[in-house]
Amino acid sequence: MRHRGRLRAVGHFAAAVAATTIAGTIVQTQINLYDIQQLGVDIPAAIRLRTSAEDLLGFSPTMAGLAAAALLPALPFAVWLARRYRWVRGALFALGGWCALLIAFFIADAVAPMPTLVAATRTIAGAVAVAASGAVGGIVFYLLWSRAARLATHPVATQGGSIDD
Amino acid sequence: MIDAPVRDARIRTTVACESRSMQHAGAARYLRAMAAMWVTALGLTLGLPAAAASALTATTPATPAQASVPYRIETVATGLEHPWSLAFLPDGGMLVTERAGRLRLIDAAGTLNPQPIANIPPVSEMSQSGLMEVAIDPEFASNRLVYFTHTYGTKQANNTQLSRARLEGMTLADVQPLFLAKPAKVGGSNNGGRFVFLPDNTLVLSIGDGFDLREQAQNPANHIGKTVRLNRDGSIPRDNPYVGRPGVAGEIFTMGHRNMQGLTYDATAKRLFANEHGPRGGDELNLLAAGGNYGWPMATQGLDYTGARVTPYTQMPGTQPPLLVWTPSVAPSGMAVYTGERFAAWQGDIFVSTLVEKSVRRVKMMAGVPTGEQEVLFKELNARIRDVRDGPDGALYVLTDEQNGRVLRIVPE
Repeated sequence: MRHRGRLRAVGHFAAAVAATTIAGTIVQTQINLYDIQQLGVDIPAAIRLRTSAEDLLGFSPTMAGLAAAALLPALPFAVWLARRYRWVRGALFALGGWCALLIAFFIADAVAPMPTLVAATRTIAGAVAVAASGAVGGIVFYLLWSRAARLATHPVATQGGSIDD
Repeated sequence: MIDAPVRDARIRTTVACESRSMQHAGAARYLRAMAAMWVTALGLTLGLPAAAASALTATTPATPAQASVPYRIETVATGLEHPWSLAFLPDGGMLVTERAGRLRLIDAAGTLNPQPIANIPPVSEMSQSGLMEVAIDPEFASNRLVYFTHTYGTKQANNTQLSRARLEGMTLADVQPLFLAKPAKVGGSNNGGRFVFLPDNTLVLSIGDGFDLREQAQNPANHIGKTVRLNRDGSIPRDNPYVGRPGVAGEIFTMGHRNMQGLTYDATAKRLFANEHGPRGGDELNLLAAGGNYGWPMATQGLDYTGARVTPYTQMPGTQPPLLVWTPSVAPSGMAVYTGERFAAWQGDIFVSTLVEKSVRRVKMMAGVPTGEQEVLFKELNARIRDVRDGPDGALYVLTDEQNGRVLRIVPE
């Protein structure tokens, strides 16, 4: 049982990392394209879609690394907090993921040879926007975690319920 | 439905157990796992995008050939800390810059003076920045003037400065700042810093995009990501392409560059060439023309270091396409046109030193245009090469970018 629980937790974590990676990659692409548009360059929808898809292939390994490193300490901490402050648990996971990504960008910039590793995070607004993907990952983790907790504590009546019932 | 107080008690018990475990043996294991995760993440961040970048970007074949001419590599000097540039003196000696901020003299007999030349102004040395280019005035024999570039400012606010001084023995006298690139940038990356004299008594100096300021390479109001053309006293030539236009920096010669560390003027073909570091891939050899826009960051064949697209476009109407592109990156540094007699087969060809490939690329030229053939030379040195020069004695000279850097002379076997 304990082994299965650990596997489940790893699965939830992987889902959170995947959600953060996809969301973060898409957001950073739009920021980079916005910057290019500001130079007077036209970017039709088809080009935008193609570039977003290319970044999902090319940039996602970087984003996945950052997301995994950020969420690994953040999500267990959010679980710990959520068990104490139950009335804001969803917000705790979202905020935790968001802050974790911001901190990860800050640390990456401090250790990387270049001033800013992820170009879309060169401005505060850009960093906050890309880091919001951590909130997406946090919410995904929260939904999976709360569903698993519901199944564990109330295996029969699982439909439409909540562990707050 | 489970009773809430009972469930909460279970949760509290679980948390307490986990907490105790964390505080004892589990804590060390957790920290080890965290460290491993960060190492893995760093690997993912810096490693995998390289593979992705290679997969995404079309590769320009280098068509390297076998060494076409037998040569021998001689060591002129060692013990130079990251030498950056080399200038030949009329008496057969050389001036060599060390990035840390020292100007060194090698006499005509090839002996490195143990003392640096005095009075180099303080330089801001960090990562790529510090003391960079050195060149003597075309009329050095009569005026003893030496020009050099270095980084001014601090880590939080710096950029490239061109200075001039008179060489008096082992001292620089009358040190004058001629030009400061503006605005200041953060960090030591992408400084440019190379310059070359043109036959019309002007010089062209490269300024990098500062890494984080790439969009400014398209802003004609500043010097970021540009080449600037100056008179030898630092003033702006009246025939510069943007002189007199409101809101435009009159020093600008060309724009839309990332980081050019190689500039050379082909006096025979009357052409000015520049090489440019792309991000990941997209290193370029460009033919510079007054007023030209070279496209960065609107068009590039490289990707960002993270694997992200800088732009969707590899070319852009209204901008000058490169003569050559190197993908994957070779990291081009110095550049020279070979004009000597000792390697007849190399005459008129461009030589580009590289940092990542650890080579010198011979770009075969025909009437000032690349033929498409390249040769990868000096890989046996297994050293990052910062500069390559066409020596007045018909030899080729290179500087290795090392803590114990060397000046090497390449002569026919």
